[in-house]
Amino acid sequence: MNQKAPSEPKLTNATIICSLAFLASCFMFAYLSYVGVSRTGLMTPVIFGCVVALIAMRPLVDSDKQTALYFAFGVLTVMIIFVYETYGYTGKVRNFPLIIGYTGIVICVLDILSLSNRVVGTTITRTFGSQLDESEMGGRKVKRELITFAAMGGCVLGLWLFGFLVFSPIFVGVWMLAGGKTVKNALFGCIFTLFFNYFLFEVAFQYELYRGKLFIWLLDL
Amino acid sequence: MIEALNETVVALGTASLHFLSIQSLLYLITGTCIGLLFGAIPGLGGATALALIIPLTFGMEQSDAIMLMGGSMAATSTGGSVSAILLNTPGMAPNAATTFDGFPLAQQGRAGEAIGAGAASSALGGLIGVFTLILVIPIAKAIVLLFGPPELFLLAVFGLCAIAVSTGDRLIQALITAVIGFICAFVGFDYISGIIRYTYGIDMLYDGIKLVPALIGLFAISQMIDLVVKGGSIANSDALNVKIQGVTGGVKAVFRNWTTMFTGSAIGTFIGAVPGVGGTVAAFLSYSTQVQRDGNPDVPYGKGNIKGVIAPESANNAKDGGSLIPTLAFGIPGSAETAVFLGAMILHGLEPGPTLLQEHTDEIYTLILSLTIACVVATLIVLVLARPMAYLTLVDAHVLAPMVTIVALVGAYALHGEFGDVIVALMFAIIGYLMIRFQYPRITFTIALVLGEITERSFFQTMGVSDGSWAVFVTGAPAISLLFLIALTLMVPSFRTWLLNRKQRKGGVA
Repeated sequence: MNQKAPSEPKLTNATIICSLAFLASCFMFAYLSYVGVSRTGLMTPVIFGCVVALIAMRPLVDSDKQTALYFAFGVLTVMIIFVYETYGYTGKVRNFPLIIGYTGIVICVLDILSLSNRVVGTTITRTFGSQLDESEMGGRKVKRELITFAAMGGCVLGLWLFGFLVFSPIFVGVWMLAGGKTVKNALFGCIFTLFFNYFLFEVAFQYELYRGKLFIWLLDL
Repeated sequence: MIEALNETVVALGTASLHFLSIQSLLYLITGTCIGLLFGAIPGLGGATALALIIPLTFGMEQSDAIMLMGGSMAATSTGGSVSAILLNTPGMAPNAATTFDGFPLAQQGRAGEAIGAGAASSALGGLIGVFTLILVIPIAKAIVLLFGPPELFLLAVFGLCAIAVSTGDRLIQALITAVIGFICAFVGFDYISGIIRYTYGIDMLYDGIKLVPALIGLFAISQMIDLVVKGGSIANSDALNVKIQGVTGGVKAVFRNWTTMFTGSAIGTFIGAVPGVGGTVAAFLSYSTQVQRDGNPDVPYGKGNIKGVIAPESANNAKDGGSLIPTLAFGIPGSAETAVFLGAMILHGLEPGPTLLQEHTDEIYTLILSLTIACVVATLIVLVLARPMAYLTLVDAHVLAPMVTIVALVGAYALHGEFGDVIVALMFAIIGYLMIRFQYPRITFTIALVLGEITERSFFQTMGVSDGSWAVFVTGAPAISLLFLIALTLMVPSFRTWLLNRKQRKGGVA
């Protein structure tokens, strides 16, 4: 208690202005709810408030945690959309979802605040537990992540077009080649995948795997 | 008491009939092998193995499916000890405590002894955990009857809070993922009101987000994305040049140090029964208890003391039996693995909670026997095939990832024969990866997704019974006790910080 609190970084003009704008959006939301504006109308101050809150928070968060901040705001957006959608239902249907939605919004706000390098952030982190393991955050390259997502998306697209039996071996082979494996190893991987899928599902389980949209189109022709 | 004992014996006898068929035994052994493999390969783990197994169980008899999954559940921790001892790379997080003395033993040329001790203590620990489960089930049967809708609702909330707190320093994030899990559980046809919610006109969402594709994406594929993004081989070690001999000596060492094994098993069973605390805490607590108990050891801990292998391994396997107590009795899973298992049970028409204990005793005892036999089979396999298993951990991510991804996607499709499920698996894979990347625990998400419907139903029934009054949640001893437990659980991180600060202040003064 007697320890002197570490000095906080100075607030930037952007943070101050956006914080004031955020407060204004909160008042606007309260007023619009009071006068009984529709839920779509209420979304205007909510969206405005989220945008200015993001701008206000950015300088308060260390550079290595910026992506975590964007992710936290993404999650908050999901919660807000969920609450908005829930108000579209009536009666008892929305009771429990609303409890969950509002709880989610409160926790998301705590999550966002916990990322800040100010006293409020460290207090929340210490009180509730929200410590970010920075070594886990640093070892990942966004480009590599996007390539992997694209590969997974491409895989699903390929499976949709060509079916499991045709595309699975191709996917495995191409991935192994791209990962620096020899052609022989990649070929082995292809054959293994083909036989595994064919014997396990088509022969052992007597299950017809998806043949692919192209095959279905060809049959239609 | 005698009646309960008779009932247990009869149920065990009926369940054991399933094991007379060769086909069922083959399922059990296959599950055990899959569990060992996924346990040994670092970064995969039991939840991934189960997520991949679920689609294979579709169309199987309930008992066969339970044997396949039970075999896998029982074997993963045993598999994880092999890579921990030989490579200093724990197959799963709970095996980390085994590396402290297991790897030094391997370096001293006593790898076989360490593996023997690890495997034998795993088997015995597992058996003790399962035996406790058998003893507790009749008592649990009586307790669950005291629980009405308000208590069940509070119990689900307590389970989620306990698991969220157990995620360590990420309580807020764990609660957020729980909320997202609930949101996903709300999607689709609402059985209470009879309307369709949050589907945005997408037909395939009318039945809700299907559990199995979601779990496959969340655990199997997202783990592969993580491996690929991190790159390289899974276990970066060239420490496989050790000789594996003296396995029998290791097995004998467990019997010589039976008190260590029993203490570890007791700790594991108890910790396992607390929702969410899991094997890692059990293994480390058992290890530290052993170090404290053994004041003046012949060989210092951390330098290759065989008791340092026995203590965590027995606790780690004993927790499986313990964690099934809240899972089977109340539908509150004790770990990510049991959460996935719960999903699989629902798929096979076994809804966890009071009705399961009352009406499906046959399936429960089949599971118990599966766990028992799998413990022994896994140990025998490890004792014979330790070295080839360790080599498997050196497999490159670029070989493993595409193969596991394809098997996972085929599994997601095969369950209902709908390509939409493959897309759901992909979406959840990306969500799961983002959770790993930004350290949002996946376990609370899974549990909320699994328990969402039951929780909402309990809430709805409670409100119906009480005429909308919230006072029902503070009426009666079980409800008040649960509320007290929830409050206490949520205060744990603050209490931990307070203790830490106090310790630091004392240290500063000294």
